[in-house]
Amino acid sequence: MEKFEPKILAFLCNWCAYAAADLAGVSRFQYPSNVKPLRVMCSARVDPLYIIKALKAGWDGILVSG
Amino acid sequence: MTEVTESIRGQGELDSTTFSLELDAAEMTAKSETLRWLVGKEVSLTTKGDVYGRKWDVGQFEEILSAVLKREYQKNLIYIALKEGSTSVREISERTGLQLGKISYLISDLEKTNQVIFKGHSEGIPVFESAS
Repeated sequence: MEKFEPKILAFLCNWCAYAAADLAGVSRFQYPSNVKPLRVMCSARVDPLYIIKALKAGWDGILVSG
Repeated sequence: MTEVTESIRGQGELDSTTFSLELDAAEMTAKSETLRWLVGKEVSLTTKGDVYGRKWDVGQFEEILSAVLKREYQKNLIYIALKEGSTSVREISERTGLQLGKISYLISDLEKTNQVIFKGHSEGIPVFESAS
């Protein structure tokens, strides 16, 4: 049986989490490729509606980091 | 990210059609005037106080906010179930998983705001309809 690969949308704060993800990339650390990063200027900018709409659109999980 | 991915992998695929009722109700709740109003008042209520000069504790405010949102969410579940064609309290209960007493209580709230109309009785069972 094929391993389930979840689709994850990550809302990342420009000033910390996105910078960390970027640094991980630059430093060639490996992280799962099924996480789609979405840069926001602040994690407080993420409206709960975005999360609900993303789940309705078919994403399996949402990560808000900042 | 690896931990999050593993956690979601463990939970399995999310079929949004299975949870369409819950997701629609959550969307209605997040869009609601009640949420905007309460969140907008939070800072002034917890720092300056209310019209009676009572300063609210942040924890107490958030407890009330959660309770209000839970109630809004349940009302939205009922409203959507009625829109989808459920008519009696028992049918709504089967669709939403809410208790019969809770539904009767919340339906009267929905009637007050003209979101739900009492249509009469069908074989002795009260029948409701969504207003729009």
